[in-house]
Amino acid sequence: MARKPHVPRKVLPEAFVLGASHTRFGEAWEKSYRDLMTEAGLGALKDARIAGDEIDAVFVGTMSTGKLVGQEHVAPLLLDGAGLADRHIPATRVEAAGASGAVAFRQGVNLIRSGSADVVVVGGIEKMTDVSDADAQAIASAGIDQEWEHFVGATETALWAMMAKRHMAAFGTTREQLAAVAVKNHAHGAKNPLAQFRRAIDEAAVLRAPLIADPLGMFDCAPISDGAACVVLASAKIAAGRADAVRVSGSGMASDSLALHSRPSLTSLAATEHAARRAYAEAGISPADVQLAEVHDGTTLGELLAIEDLGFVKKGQGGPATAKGRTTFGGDLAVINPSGGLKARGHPAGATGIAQVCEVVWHLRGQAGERQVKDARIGITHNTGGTGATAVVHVLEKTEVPE
Amino acid sequence: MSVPRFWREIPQRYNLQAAKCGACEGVYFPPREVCPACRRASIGKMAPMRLSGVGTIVEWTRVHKPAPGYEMQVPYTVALIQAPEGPLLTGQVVDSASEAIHVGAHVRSVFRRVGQDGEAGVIHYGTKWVVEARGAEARSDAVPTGKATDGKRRKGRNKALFQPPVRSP
Repeated sequence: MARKPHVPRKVLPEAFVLGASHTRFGEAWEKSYRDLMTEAGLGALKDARIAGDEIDAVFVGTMSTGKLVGQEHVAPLLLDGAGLADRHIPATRVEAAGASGAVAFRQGVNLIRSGSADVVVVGGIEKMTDVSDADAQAIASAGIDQEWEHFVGATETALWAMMAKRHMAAFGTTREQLAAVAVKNHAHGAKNPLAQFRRAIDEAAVLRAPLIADPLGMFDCAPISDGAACVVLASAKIAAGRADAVRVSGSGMASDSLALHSRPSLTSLAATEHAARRAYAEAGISPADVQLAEVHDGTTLGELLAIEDLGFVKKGQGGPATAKGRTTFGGDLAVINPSGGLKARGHPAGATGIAQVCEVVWHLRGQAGERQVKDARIGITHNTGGTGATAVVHVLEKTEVPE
Repeated sequence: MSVPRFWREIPQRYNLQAAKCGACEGVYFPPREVCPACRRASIGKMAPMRLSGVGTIVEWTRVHKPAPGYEMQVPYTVALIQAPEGPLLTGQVVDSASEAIHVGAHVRSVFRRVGQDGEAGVIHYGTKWVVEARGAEARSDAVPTGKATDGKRRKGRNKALFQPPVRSP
């Protein structure tokens, strides 16, 4: 489908990404929560060639620092870590479970679009390996309904597993097609120096992994990770003349019932569909215009639902499309999760939404190295919280900012 | 989890107490103050009602990495259960042969100990589900034995509490 020309905003200023950086994801035993955020933040400012004095506001997306590291009120703390406490600028923490990063990013975009700020720094972070594996699992499941899902024995993965079984029953999706998502994302992650897992795996490895919740095994699920990511957003005034600026041409966010059992469909995420529609409409694009997408593969089924609900394939076709290689390099669709996705890059909850933006920015600038998607002009990010009660979609475009 | 929070939630959790909208007759579990279909027209018209405590399995999974408090039961079964009154519920299926657990299987609710806050803490009770032996699904090994296999042994002094919720016939 031919792309409609982008209509410049007449009323609202546009937002551009000027800088992007994230730490290596994984088990960072030697680094603290503060170390990680400072590393990503200084990296993004350097990349953006922006000085601390130019920053108007800061947002931080993080899911559960209180339970994971015992610290709340982290936005001013992290700003202080970058040596900027004496600037006294607004610093706001944002939480939306696994979508915390993308919701924080959207706050930054909106602040610039509103004309209230020219430079906004948005970070995302989670330090998840300072607690036991079981505790981390339980805390990560805090994004589902605690009273009517978690208390009665369901984990977040158990709910995704039941969605997977429904998808298999409704559309004939196979266990092998689910495994193909993990195999693809590990192959992509092997080429990403910042990924937690840099090792290709085969289908047999996915199928013989210990079960988490039938049919999903360990290799169907994103890992527990430490990591931080940061981007610098700027108005057209600041971005003028920057050849490496990336335009945020669409931003969509949507919500749904927190509990899976309160939703009419178990095989699609309505929040993703609504967020995508809004983001595409703002940007004036359709999925056919997109060369790469960073989507929320918290489980392998999550990626299948994402590529269907984002409109890359028809409902029910996610499995066959992935198994046939249509969503990897050389396929006929957008490259899905060139970074390795949550599965292989890792999933430090609050950092994921920002790391997705970093990945797309690097591809649009031609800086993605071995995993560069050819001729990347438009990329999207898709970040969800819980089982899809929050979904956020952003459209990012290569652009020329007029002087 | 705090004690007050658990005491507050008693009626819905123990009795499958739902809410019925006086305007559209829609039934919601857990109970809601406002009907999502009728919204303002439903205010003040949401009447409490008790679900019959039966249902059918819409989907299920065997959980190998447990939720907190379920460590001793791994692997255990969690299901989405369709109540005939309308709501879909999430719940644990217990005391049922694995062959009896399948999509479409009939289940009924049972009142069970779910967990407790520490060694001497408040004991949490709630609703679990067993597969009912009836019709084509009837198998002798699917009949609930009444013996708790979902967690620690019941203590005698709590015996009176382990009664299934009262159901309409």
